[in-house]
Amino acid sequence: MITQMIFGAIEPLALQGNVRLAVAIIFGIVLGVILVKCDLIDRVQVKSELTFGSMKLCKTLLLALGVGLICFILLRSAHVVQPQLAEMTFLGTLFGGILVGIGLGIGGLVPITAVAALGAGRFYAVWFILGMVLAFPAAQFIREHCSGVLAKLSSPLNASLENSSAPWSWENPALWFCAAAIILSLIVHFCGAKDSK
Amino acid sequence: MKFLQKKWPFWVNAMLLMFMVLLGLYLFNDTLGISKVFQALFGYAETAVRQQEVPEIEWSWQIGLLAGVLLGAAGGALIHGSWKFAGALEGAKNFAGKTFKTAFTGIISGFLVMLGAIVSGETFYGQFAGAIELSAGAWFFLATALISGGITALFIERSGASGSAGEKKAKEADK
Repeated sequence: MITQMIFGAIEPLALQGNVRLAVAIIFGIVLGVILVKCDLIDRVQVKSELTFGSMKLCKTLLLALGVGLICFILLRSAHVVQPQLAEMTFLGTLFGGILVGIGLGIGGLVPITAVAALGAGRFYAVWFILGMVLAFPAAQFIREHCSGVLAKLSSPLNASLENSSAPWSWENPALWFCAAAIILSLIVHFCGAKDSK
Repeated sequence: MKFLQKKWPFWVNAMLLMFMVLLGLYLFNDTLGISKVFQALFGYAETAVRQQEVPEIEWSWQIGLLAGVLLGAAGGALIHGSWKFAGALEGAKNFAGKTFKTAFTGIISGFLVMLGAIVSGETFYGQFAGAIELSAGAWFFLATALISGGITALFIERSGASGSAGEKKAKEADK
């Protein structure tokens, strides 16, 4: 109710046409700067994070997820944002996560950070982008020859963390996730290795 | 300008990453991942090769986003002083080793990351945005990816196959 009073009748802007494209470029520029400042383009740093050699990215992501959950619930209750989720299946998410993790462990980059790394002068990211492009014919091949098997083994995974009947009570798993993420982030910050200056 | 030049504390990075997800949802009211744009770019390349003519490109907002990320990263790195030309991965010893290792590592990791994104439905950034949007599947994806990534990185570090110790030494020498 408070958020509705503050935000009134705001709805998602949902830009269209050339304005959408222009705003997306500006949005991307800001996001690119943030990715550089977060050291997400530094593959050695990212790989060090994965092995707990450094904890800065870990606490950054945990805090972002924890605070983001609360902000999303607040903004969604005021109809400022709406969830926009890709369709997922259980096995697809499991195998996809494993594949992405192995790729991340080897290369230290994900698609958006690879593009940002390329912008920041790390031209070896071109090989990474080439590898990404080669994944599409492979995925098409799997879809054509294994679609029946995949369909039988996979069920949709569209569950939400939220308990919609009691969004602000401790019965809502989203609040537990939020609290856990923020607390873990603080524990890592105060008890983990200090960030390098 | 000084704010852009110096290192930001972790909580500033966290708030900005979170804010960009929510701002993106407000502005575009669409899924925030970029797998569709790579799929579209691959489709355009395939059409160009097959039909031997430049296809008409639909300039979706995600292409604009990628172009913006490229420009923003270049600008941010130049202002921050972290822009550096790096044609090969750190730690390899000679030219042939550097080239082969860089190409092999890059292609394999890019292939696996994008294949995983296609299989799971969205890229890492899209899943991060999905996790903020209360998707249980996105949280499951992030947990699986980070656990398997940690195991892979530990395995590679211990086996010394990618010269990751050499990469860290090269990074420390740069500092």
